[in-house]
Amino acid sequence: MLVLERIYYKYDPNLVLDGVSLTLAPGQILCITGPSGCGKTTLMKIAAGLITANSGVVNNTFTGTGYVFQEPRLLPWLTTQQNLAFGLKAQGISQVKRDRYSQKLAQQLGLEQALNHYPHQLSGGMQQRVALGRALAINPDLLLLDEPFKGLDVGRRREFQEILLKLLGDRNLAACIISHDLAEAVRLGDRILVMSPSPSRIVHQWQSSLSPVVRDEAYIYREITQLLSLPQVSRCFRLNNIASHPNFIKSN
Amino acid sequence: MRISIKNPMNPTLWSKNPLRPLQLILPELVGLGIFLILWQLGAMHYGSIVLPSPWETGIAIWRLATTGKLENALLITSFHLLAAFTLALLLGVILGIVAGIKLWFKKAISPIISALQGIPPIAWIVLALLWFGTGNGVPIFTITVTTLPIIFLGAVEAIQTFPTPLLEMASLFRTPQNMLLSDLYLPHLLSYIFPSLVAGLGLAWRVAVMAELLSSDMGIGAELNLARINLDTDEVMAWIAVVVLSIWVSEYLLLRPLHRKLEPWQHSQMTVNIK
Repeated sequence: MLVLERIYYKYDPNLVLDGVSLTLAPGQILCITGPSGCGKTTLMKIAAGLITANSGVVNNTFTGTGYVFQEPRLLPWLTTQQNLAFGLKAQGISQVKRDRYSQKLAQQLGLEQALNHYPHQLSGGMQQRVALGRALAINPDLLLLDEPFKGLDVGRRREFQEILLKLLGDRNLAACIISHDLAEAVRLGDRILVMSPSPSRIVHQWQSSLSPVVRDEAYIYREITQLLSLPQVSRCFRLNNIASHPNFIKSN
Repeated sequence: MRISIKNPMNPTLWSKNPLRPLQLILPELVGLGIFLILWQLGAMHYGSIVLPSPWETGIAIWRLATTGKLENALLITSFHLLAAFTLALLLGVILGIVAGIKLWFKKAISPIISALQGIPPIAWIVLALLWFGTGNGVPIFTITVTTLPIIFLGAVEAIQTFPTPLLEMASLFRTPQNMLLSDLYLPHLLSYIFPSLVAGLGLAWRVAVMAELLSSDMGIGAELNLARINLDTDEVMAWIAVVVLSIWVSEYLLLRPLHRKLEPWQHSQMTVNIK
């Protein structure tokens, strides 16, 4: 269980997070969405313990936490296999075991042919898959993903999302995914938290009735439309001109 | 002169045309050929006392090689270079790392470094002659102080450009200190030090010959001086050619292959399209 309670974070002179709370239960996928600059990454880093909040409580009872950054952050001098095994090496696991495990991971991620390649030889999507593999290698039960699909084209995005959903399901992992794309959030998340910028607060919570594997396009678009019809949500996605229009509110 | 192979997976590249490697360095060969022709013309015009021809120089080199003089001189000069380079590398890297981490130390040491850069090598030689007399001391000292700033600046830049996002990533995995050093800091440092080494090497050779010429009775510089005293122009030319060849050999056959071996990630150019 990951519990964040009334998190305040001030990065002078701006208040970045204004009393944000969230909970994430084992096996659940939580998406945090909102416009850029609303403090999503900061919140994620506080959850991972990379930054300390000014006040509030962070309670993480998961045994292992994996983290995937916006950029792959691979070490340019290590091959795919070595990058995948980075966390294992840090844990002092032997070379033989590391190799065996990273080969298995590469298979699950479709990276078998890239094991001996260096990051600059891989496409952006493959690099991001290596980063995901590196986070999964340490066998976490919680995975934090900060816009993992950023910079990927539509096809690669879907491909990566499917790989991710399968891996999360197979391992019964809890995940917290940051995305500024509402459609993506509705596609992946069991729950969605919508964050507003300045001040950064959670303005809406959404819960899905369907498992991610059975959600079809029609369901996704219906849910997005419903979400965007809420003024507090549409305001976050800079649709405030429409939402605050008298006719728009009247029609609802 | 680095030969970049876009697709080494393709065996036909080599099997079809065995002259391919030669074709790749054709411009270099043409340049060298023109230089040799101009040299030959000059030699024919001025006579071999003033300017020995390439052929005569070649014969002189052969003579030096067969009498063992060449081997001796090369060994001595290489020893000077290696000793001085090791010293410069150790000092430069240690000082560079400290200066990269502590800004005040960088500020404090930078006037000294720019002074080291500004002082002409010949001035160091004069000073070193007074301090160390004749022998190995003068060349080793002079090469060290002239190459030190180059390596120092390379190390400072390496530390200051270290990508902090990678450190943040490593901290999430609770990476132990020794692994941070071996897997993050050292490879990054190495990639910045190598260009400095290549730049320092040319300078080191020039300074080595000069220092040996003025202070030592052994090494290429000393032999060059001896040939000058004997008015043996063939041999003077031969020693100069030996220096040039040595610089090529140490850069292309030693330093660059070493670089490739230590940093394969900087040299693998091919990109793969695997889905």
